[in-house]
Amino acid sequence: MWQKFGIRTQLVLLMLGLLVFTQVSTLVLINWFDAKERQIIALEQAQTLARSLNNDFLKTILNPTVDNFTELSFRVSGYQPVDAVSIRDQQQQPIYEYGKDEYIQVSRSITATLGQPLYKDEHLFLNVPVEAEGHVFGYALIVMDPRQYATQIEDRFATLLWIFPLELLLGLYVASRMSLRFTQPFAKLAEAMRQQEVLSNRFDPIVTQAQNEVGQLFKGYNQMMTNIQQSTQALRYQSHHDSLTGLYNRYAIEQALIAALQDEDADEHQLLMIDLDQFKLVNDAQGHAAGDALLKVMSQSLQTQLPQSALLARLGGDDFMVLLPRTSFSVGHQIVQALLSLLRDYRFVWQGQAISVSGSMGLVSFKPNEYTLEALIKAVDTAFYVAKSSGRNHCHYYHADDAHTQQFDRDIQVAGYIKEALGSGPARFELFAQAIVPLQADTDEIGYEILIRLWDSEGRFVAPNDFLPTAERYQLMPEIDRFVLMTYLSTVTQYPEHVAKLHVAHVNLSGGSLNHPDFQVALKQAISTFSFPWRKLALEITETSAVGNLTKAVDFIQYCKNIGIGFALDDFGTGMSSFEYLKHLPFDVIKIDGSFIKDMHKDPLDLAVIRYIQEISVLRQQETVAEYVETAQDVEALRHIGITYGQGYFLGKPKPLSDWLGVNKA
Amino acid sequence: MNKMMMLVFATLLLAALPTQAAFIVSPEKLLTQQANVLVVDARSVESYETGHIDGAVSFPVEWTFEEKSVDGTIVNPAKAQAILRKLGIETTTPVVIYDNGTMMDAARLFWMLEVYGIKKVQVLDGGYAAWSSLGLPQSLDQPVRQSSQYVANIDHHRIATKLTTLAATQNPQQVIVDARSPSDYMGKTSTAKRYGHIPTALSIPATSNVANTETQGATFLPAERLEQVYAQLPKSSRVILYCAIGRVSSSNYLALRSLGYDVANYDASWQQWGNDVSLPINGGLTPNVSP
Repeated sequence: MWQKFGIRTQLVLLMLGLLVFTQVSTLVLINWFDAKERQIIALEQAQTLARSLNNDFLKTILNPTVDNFTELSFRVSGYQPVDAVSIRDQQQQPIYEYGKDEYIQVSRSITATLGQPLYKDEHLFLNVPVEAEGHVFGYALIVMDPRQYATQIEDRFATLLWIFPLELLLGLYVASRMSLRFTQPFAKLAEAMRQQEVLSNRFDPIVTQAQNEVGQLFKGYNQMMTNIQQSTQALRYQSHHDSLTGLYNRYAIEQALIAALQDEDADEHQLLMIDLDQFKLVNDAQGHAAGDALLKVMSQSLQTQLPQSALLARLGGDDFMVLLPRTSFSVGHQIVQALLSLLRDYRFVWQGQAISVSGSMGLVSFKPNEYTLEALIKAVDTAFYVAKSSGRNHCHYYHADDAHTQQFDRDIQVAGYIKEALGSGPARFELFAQAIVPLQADTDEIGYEILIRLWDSEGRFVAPNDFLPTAERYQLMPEIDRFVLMTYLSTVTQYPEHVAKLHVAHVNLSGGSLNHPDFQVALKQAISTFSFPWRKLALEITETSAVGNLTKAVDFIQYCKNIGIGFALDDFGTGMSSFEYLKHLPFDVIKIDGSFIKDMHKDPLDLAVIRYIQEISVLRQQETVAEYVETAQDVEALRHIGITYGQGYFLGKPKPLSDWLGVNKA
Repeated sequence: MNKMMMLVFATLLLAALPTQAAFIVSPEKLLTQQANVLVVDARSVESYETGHIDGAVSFPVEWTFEEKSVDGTIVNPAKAQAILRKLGIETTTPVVIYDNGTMMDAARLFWMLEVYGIKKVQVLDGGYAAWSSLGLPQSLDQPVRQSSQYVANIDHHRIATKLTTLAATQNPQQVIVDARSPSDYMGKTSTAKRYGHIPTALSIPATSNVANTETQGATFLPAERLEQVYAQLPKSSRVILYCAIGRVSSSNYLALRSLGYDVANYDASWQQWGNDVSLPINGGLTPNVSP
């Protein structure tokens, strides 16, 4: 109950309680003093009375006549405060009584010590000797009512009672005025708390003259609000900015994009996505410090080319996004050109080394409400990937229905399947194998090339030509290669008889995989994990990808060769410039591109090329494989030339690896 | 609640008023409250022994005199205390007095008991004659009362001394009534050495209170007639009575008490006043002596 009262009410009530307590205490005290005073007066009076009536008492005792009794009664009746008088003889027997019955009765029962006052029933009982000339003739007991004496108590009570309401009024007035002073700071504080504009993170300090607890409270509040304001500012900055470059982050630009999409007064906005082509190279080759430095200087450089209204954000890695709000396509185009020009001439200097940097960009023009945020981001992604796939330092302008865009959309879909197949589905890979048949000798030994087939999430077949280029673009080839190799090895090692009969297994490898550290590590792990006759394994590398890649991977190739792993050059003959490689590169098998085989009966030049390759291979002690062998005539011709192996539909169509292992038959 | 209380209070007051004022009680009334009061027989011991009101104790009127053969002076405190203790009377004991019916003896006893501080004293109207004529219960039993703790207690309002009477002569609030015969009052006759009356005294002879009947002799006048007798006395005044030797004025006393006056009897009466040459007198044949 008390807690429900306001501070003011509490103070007023306390003040009133104090006043009433003081008043009552004063009255009680005065009353007590008054009673004491009356007792003293009564005693004095009784003693005086006893002295002055001594002779009358004596006369009553010595001569107890009616007249004497009457006159004593008459005399005593003149003393208002005397309630009773009792006269006793020397034997203490009462012979005369006067006064009120109740006090006469009391006086009979008490034994008051001589001369000593006795207070009982608010009355004074005083027993005095009646004496003359030093002889006691009897005793007189006088009963007095001290209340009969007039003191100033009534006046004092009256004054106090009269003052009391005034005191109360004054107390109430003072309490209510004072409590106002006490509650004001709290009201002010509460009001300040209500008024704070949390969203705008603004706050006005509150001031007070008080230097007491209230002052401390206000100071504490101001301090707390300043801290909150600062930390809110910092958090807000962090939540909207990229810590490395100080640019906006993904969250901030997404908020800006949402606002732009809702900005119905605007005609058009431009959204630009930028990716640095060489960032990965710098990061890998020069280290992350270099990469970070590149991002920082690049952020500053990009900023210089952008108008004030532009929002430049770093989404992560080397991906930047620029929102040009309320900007026409033509202005956006100009800005893109300026940025491309900047990047074209850009040289990033790191530890005295100048590295040229270029960027790929995608631009989307959009109107308010034209896209959802997700669709807009996807659109600018698409534009960007199209740009990226069409070469360096290039910008692609997004149009929802252009061929690039559609291809890109398909790519995104297929890349999704590939990632699923590499992971836990539902799209999946399956290993197939196509026979590689010896042409010069009859043998029951088995040789084949491992091929990969993809089924999408709904179980539809995806042709290798549809997904392998995508995998290249998305840099998924090292993972696919690793997947194929590991799946093959883990499967085939469970069939030792098959391995025993195996002559050679060709596994395709992209140029990138050979150089990819993850793949290299994976292969080395496989070698230590699986028990497999490694000389029966050959890695196929296309002629095109071999260019540039093999030289970098010399050490790894040497490692593989030491184990016994062979290398086959795939699709040889398509890049004619590469006869040089045959001389220098450590291939064990040369696979002649199918285009030569297909036309060798019609085109003598193709036949000559085949013969030529065969001759060189013989000289270098390399075996040869002819692809696209489709007829018996082909086989006869190739055998005649001296080709070691043939591969093609005539010799065996690709079939699931499980068929080769005899799993299905079992 | 408050209204209830006030109503009850008012009823009690109304019921109490007549009993408070009534010093004369009828036989019928006495019969109903006999259990709560002490009935006192003022007649002679011989009359009491031949029959009395049932439950009454004997208090012959002779006991109220110090020395009846000499004068009418009231019995002294020591004797009075002994009598009242023996009869078991306290100052608070309600007492109803009766005599043979003349009311003279009853009036004397009534005054004596009031002087000695007994607070509730009444007189039976018509006395024993009225009681027995109504055939109300009588008895020969003499009840023995447990003695009381009574201590002599003089009510100085009911008795006057020389001093208080002298004071009354000069106090306009007080009236002195001479109950002696008009002859005494006029100073033609006197039982004392001097003749005349106390200054300012009015003459209302004790005989004015009684009517002589053939059967019972002198009987007390009814209240209406007494009112006429004392009509000249203001009700607010205190009245001091005296007679020759303080014997007959007690009938005036009872009469005035029953009429509601504040009355005191000058006990020593003319026997003292008339013989004290230091006191002033009026209307005597001897000339006034100024104090």
